Amino acid sequence: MRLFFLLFLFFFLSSCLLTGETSSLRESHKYACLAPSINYRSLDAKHSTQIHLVAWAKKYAAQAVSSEFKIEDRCSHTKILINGLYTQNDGSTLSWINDRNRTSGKIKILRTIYGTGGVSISGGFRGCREYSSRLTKNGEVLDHKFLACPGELGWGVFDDSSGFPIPPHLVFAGWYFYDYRFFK
Amino acid sequence: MKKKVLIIVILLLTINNLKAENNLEDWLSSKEYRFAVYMSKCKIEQLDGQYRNCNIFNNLKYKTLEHNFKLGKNFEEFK
Repeated sequence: MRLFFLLFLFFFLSSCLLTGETSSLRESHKYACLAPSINYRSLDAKHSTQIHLVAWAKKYAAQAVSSEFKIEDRCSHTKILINGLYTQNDGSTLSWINDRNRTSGKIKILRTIYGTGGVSISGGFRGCREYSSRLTKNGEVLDHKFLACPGELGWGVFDDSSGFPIPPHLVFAGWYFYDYRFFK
Repeated sequence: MKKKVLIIVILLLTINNLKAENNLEDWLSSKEYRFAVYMSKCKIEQLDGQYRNCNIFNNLKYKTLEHNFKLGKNFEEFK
């Protein structure tokens, strides 16, 4: 019995440590329900592996003890995200509601960057879209803001304090998603 | 008694999962799902000879393609 438990623990830990992915994120990948705001904790933990191992360990532990949205909610949020980014004008809001899980979500397209904004390398932020996401679960409200770009922001466009480009949180459906808190 | 409770719990979990499966089916048969999967893989050779993803917002990024940008064009043309 103890052997089985140890084997289970070994496979569980090695799969997480090798991929940096949680089971809920693997499920989101499987069904392409990858809207970054509703997979935020898992993606943030994974994103940290690309920056700092200790930060990843802390975030992985934090997400492991918090409850995730169910897969159908993650898919509903992804559906309005795809629709919003590809078809909606600036200022539009799309939403979904799930009475059974007492959850809901909204996405508002804030603006599209048409000008160069003073950055010239590969067009800088041109073509990027800013959007905000609001999720509610049992009365708790979670707000996030992302920048979705059609291409990767390279050197000199979006760098950390050491001058290295910050990797996107997620690459999905033709978009590179950047967490807005890194722009502060 | 324990057996009955266990059976009820399993039944409730099964019903709950079946409902979730129904909602997933809605997503898996939606245009947004097929489009997201397609756009995750799609690459296109553009006028400058570079291969980039098919996201039409690339046309805003690269000035040579700007005239060909129309909001919603990618999604509308996708079958």
